[in-house]
Amino acid sequence: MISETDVLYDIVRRVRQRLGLAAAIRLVVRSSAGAAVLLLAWALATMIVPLPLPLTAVAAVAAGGALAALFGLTWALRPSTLAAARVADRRFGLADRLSTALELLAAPSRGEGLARLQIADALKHAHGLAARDAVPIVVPREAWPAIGAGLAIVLWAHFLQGWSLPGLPAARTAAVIHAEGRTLMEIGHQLENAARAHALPEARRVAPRVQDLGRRLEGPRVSRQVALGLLRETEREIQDAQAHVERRLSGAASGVARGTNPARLAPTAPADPSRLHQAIRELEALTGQLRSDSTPQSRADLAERLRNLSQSLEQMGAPAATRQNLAAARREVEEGRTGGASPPLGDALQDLQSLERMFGDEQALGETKRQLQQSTDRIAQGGSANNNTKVTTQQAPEPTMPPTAPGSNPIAGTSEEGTPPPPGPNQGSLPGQGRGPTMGAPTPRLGGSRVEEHLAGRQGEGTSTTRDLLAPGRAGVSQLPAQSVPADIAHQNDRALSRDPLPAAYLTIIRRYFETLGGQR
Amino acid sequence: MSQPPVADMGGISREVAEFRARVAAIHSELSRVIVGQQDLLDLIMYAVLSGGHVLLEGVPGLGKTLLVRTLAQTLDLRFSRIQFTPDLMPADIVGTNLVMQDDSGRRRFEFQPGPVFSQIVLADEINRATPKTQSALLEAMQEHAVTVAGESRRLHEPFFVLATQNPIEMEGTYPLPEAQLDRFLFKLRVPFPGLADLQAIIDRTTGPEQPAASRVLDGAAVLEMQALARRVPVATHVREYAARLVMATHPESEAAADTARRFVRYGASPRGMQALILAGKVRALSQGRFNVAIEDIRALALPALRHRLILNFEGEAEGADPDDVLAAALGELDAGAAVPKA
Repeated sequence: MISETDVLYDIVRRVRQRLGLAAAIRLVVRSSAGAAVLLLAWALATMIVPLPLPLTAVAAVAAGGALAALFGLTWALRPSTLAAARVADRRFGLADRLSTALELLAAPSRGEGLARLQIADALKHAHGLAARDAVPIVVPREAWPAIGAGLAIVLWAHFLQGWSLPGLPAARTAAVIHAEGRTLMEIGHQLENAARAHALPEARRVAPRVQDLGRRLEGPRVSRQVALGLLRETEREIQDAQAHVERRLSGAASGVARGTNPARLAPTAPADPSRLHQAIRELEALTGQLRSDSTPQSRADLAERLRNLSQSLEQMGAPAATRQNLAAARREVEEGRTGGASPPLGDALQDLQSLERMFGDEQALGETKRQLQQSTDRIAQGGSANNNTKVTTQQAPEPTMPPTAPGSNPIAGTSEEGTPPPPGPNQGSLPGQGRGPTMGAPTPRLGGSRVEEHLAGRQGEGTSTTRDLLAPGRAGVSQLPAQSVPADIAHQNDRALSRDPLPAAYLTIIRRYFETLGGQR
Repeated sequence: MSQPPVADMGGISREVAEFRARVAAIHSELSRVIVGQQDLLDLIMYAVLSGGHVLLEGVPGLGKTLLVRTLAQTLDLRFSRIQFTPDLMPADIVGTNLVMQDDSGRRRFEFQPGPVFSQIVLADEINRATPKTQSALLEAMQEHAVTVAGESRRLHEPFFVLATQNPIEMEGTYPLPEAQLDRFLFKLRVPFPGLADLQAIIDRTTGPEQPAASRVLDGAAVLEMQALARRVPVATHVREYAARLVMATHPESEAAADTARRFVRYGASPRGMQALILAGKVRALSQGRFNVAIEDIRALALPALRHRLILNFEGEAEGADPDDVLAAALGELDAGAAVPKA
């Protein structure tokens, strides 16, 4: 059974909770209004300067934070029980009955006459009261600015996000992003062409992604943040593709790659792609010769060329299986069975071609990744005040193949490679005024030394001389004529000048100065 | 813990019910004689049941003397009226030792008590006597005792001084000293009656029969009621409110109201705070409550504190009214207390 005292406390507790909630709502709404206005200002500022604005993340954090703050503040901003009772007294017109009753309940004298009457009276008046009547939860006025700012942000995100005012840093950044988009589209095209020409599977898979990235960057309303995010995403995909190629290479080396016979590839791979390419060409020529010419002399020549090729591949570190195939083919030729030499030669040729494609893939992907990183750097710096770097179109990445291979020429360096780097922070500045980490050497000092000399004794000791000059005032600037220097002071001066390691020129200047003074006396 | 219902608290409930009935009866009897002035009657009752003295200020003819006399009749208390004049001497108030000769021819001093030896003393036009004579009431008002020729004599309880003064006729008067003023629980301003009240006064005083009040209480009952009122509980924040209000009248205090800083030389004394709480208890009980509320303090602030403020030169020069200073202090205090502190 609920006692009457519990009823009293229950009412005050509910009033207390609602007071805390009302205060928390007020505070959170005020903070939200301020945050929304700031966010709106930030959003508008992105049209002037290329500031990052992760709107979705900010909105999610703000909503979560507001909710958490609401719960936390409701608990933290609750008034004390007595304060809540006083509020209830005031709002319900109870003439301090509740607060007095709560104090009396906590006091040892609560059972005494008038105290008991007072508590009973408070209970009677508190019966049937609803806390919501005392503390109605209303939406504060500050909610309207918050809602207005929130709507403005939504409208900005739909219609204005990514736009920039011309001639301002944000517009310069947008121009950089567009230029990089065009470059990347071109790179994607060239990558696709190279992939088709050289049958590079991973490069062919990545090329549309690069083109799509370029297309998106070239489009309107792409902020720096979004552009960098897209670049990072594509770079990750290229990294995955590179990892895949590397796995295939290492699989080929260890014989565990899917679809590869472990026995056919050696544990090592050739390090020089051009020599590998020449070896493939040589092997193709040998295969042709094997089919067309079968005279004993030509067989001997063929066997010799096969031996040389095998040695060359061994020097290159080609797979052992390839070399074994070549050795088997050579044995067949030497024994006059030119027909039996064709299968091992074909296998060796396939192995080397497969290896060449993997190298081509790896090279093309690496080059594309490098181009993406350059674009990332340019966009990250684009539009900033000290960024005067001219945006240039990069060359598309191509695997380094000999000109005899089908497809485009090997990749060339970017146009920026020949240009000098932008001026550094120290360039053109004086020693000590640079802003970079490498400061100039300290200024050389004269090789002098300082000697502290003080007169012995303490203040007030010894004799002092005071001379009163009594003379009638005269018109003009008041001045005291130079007095003759006492002999002992002049002696000390000379001694000091001779003792200190002063340069001779300085000594002359000093003496001339004092002599000039003496002449004016 | 479950509290017993009000009906189960027989003794104390009866006392409280009787208190309220007696208050209503006194009010009714006073209203039979005094036309209107309901707030004034209430405040005088609060002062009497608090055991305090009252200074009535008003122009002549408003029934101040009649009110005091009627109160004495209603309470069945010994009443005496002292007309304060410039030549009144302290001995005329407290009494003196006279040389008496008995039948055997022997002479001895015998104390002849003055009019202060009553239970309700009407000090009429108290500001017409000199400060020396006014001071004769100091001990009586504070200690409820009189000392004559080195011998202290207790006054009969209950003892009340109800003084009157005319705020207009200032020539030949002596303003009450601060120590004297501070001893009055309330300073009440007797307002001029309204049109309806004036007509009722005509009807009631110019007819063949004069209304008369009946006795409804005696001194013992008044003392019982005073004792009961003192047991009314006061919450901490109500006490704090009263203390803050008093502090707000002190110009040197950090909590001083702006008006007080400007116009007040000395603020209310601790007696003012005691008056607020004590009269608040009586007011609460009279209105059927068992606790003092802030609204009691607000309602009693002006009568309890207005005579305790001493204005500075600027206040006097600008004709500042202590009531305005107190109203401003109350306003600032309420504004500061509006927001509950966590």
